[in-house]
Amino acid sequence: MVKADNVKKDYTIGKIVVHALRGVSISVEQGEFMSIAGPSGSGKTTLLNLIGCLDTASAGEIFIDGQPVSGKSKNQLALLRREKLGFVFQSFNLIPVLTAIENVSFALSLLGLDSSAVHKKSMRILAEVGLKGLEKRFPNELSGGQQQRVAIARALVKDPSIVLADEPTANLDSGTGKDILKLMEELNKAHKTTFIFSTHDPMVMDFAHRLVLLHDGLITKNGAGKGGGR
Amino acid sequence: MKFLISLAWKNLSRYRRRTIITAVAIAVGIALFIWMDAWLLGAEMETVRNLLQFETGPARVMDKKYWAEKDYKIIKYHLDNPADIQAALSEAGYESTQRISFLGEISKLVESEGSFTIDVAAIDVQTDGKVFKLQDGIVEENGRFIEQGTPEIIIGKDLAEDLGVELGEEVIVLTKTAAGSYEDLELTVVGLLETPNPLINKGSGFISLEYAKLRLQIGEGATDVVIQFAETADSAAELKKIRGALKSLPGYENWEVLDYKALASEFIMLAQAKSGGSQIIIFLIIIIAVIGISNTMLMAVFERVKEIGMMRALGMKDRSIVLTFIFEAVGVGLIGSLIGLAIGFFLTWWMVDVGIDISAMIENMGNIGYRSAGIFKAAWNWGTMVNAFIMGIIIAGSVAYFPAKRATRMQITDCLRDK
Repeated sequence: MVKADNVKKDYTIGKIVVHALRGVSISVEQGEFMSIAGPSGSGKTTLLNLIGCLDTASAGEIFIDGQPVSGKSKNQLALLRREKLGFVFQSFNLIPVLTAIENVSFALSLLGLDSSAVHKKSMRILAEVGLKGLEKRFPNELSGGQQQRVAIARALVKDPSIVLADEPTANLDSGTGKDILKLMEELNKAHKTTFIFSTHDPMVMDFAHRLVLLHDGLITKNGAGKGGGR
Repeated sequence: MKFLISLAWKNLSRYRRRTIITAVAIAVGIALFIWMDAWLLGAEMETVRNLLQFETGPARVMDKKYWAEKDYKIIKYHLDNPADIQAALSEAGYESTQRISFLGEISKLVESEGSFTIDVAAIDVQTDGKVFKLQDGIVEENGRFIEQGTPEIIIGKDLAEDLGVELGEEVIVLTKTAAGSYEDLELTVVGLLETPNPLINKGSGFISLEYAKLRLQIGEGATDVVIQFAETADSAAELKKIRGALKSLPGYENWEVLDYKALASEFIMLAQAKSGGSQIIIFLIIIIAVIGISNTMLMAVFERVKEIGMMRALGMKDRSIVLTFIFEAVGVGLIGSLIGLAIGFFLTWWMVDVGIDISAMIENMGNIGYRSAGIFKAAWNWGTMVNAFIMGIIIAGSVAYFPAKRATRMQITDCLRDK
């Protein structure tokens, strides 16, 4: 499903070259609920960005559904993200002028579906993430947890192969964060969608069924997680 | 596409204050553009009208030498057979009148405090009204029009004030006859002209043609035959027709047949120069509006870099993102242009209907080039209104392109990290 083969990523800041990833190889299968964890600066967001085709590797290769992503044009990468990848961001990143349902519909509209299908699917996914009755609220009329639920609905509504979540609970209190993780876990089971989320929070790591630990741009652990949280 | 337009429209209402400020900047630019253009056009049209009705007439036939020495108006170079010219013109369907135009030194006969050089025209009282509207320049309290064959003169009201002359008083006009000798014309002021043409009011006098022929040793001659045709007519075509009608007459090769554009070429050049200057002002207004819109759109784009990053992450193509911002800018341009059009329309309406009284300014400044003495009025220019409206929208849309394009060139990860 997703494969990273000896992936390296260097950033140049002024005259200093920072080796964010120093040769990471990893395979993720369909339906996994996986966390990429590690302290700040370990390279977890960089790895997530590379898997999400938001950035390009300095060396090595990323494969999605067996296809290498290097060499693809900007438009081809946009199409790949549109069709196969869903994103959940730390700060939700909802469009403030759109209601909850419009934010969710936005992702589907990009696929060119007709408006009635878009509306129907968006309503269904919002109900699934527990936002029935709040569809017409604007982001600033929703709590942080509710906004993140909208973001998850937006990522899932187009039935992507993989949902990538970068520190999805970092801006939430621990109770709400747990609720969000439980929701993601339920959706992972229900939709068989692969979830890959980054975190540095041990509580969040405990939810992962598989845990990949990064340190200084290298994988230090790659194995089963506790799953289900504490 | 529908979604992009809807998103752009929602963003316009989301940043209401900024939308209003930018729209107002565009509106002011558009309104000023429309207003200034209408004003210039109105001034030019009134000047042309006043030239035609009081100064040059639509076209003239003159002796070539008279035209060559036009600044001195030497009546020695006159047309010998103006009546034949008029007859030929009449046959071709044109109304015309004869004039003897010359320079004269005018002063009061009694208690003179000085003299002025003025343009004097000896006019055919019977036919002058077919071409000129001098009679409209005399209201009841300002006396009456001259009578044929009498030693009478009508002069501009401003000139009368400068001379200290009142109705019924005598003046002397010193000039040269066709034979080259000096002649004093003692004339009674019977009317004061108050026309919309400041040059007429300030420096002109009109006497009887019959009387002038008697005193200026010109025989049956005249310096000009002034020809009437419609203000809206194509003067080049009319000139061609007039020349065709006259070319069989004896002496034709010594004549100039000119329209008002040639007769008032100094004004035309001045108007063109002023129009050029005004275009620069209009251009500056547009530049200010463009900078205002660019700045706003730049802010709009860079405030939403994170949003742009998110949209790109979700798979929105760069082209669609740029289009969203262009639609947004076009929306602002549309609102601004509509407001500007409305303001420009009402300003122009007021200027067409009421106008600005510049008589005091003319009195103080003298000749400002435009032949307008009283109320300065604008003229409708629908073409400019449509152009300004479209221009507002196109400029707004164009200036949004570059900042939006620049934002899409950023790395998505940098966009998402943006604070």
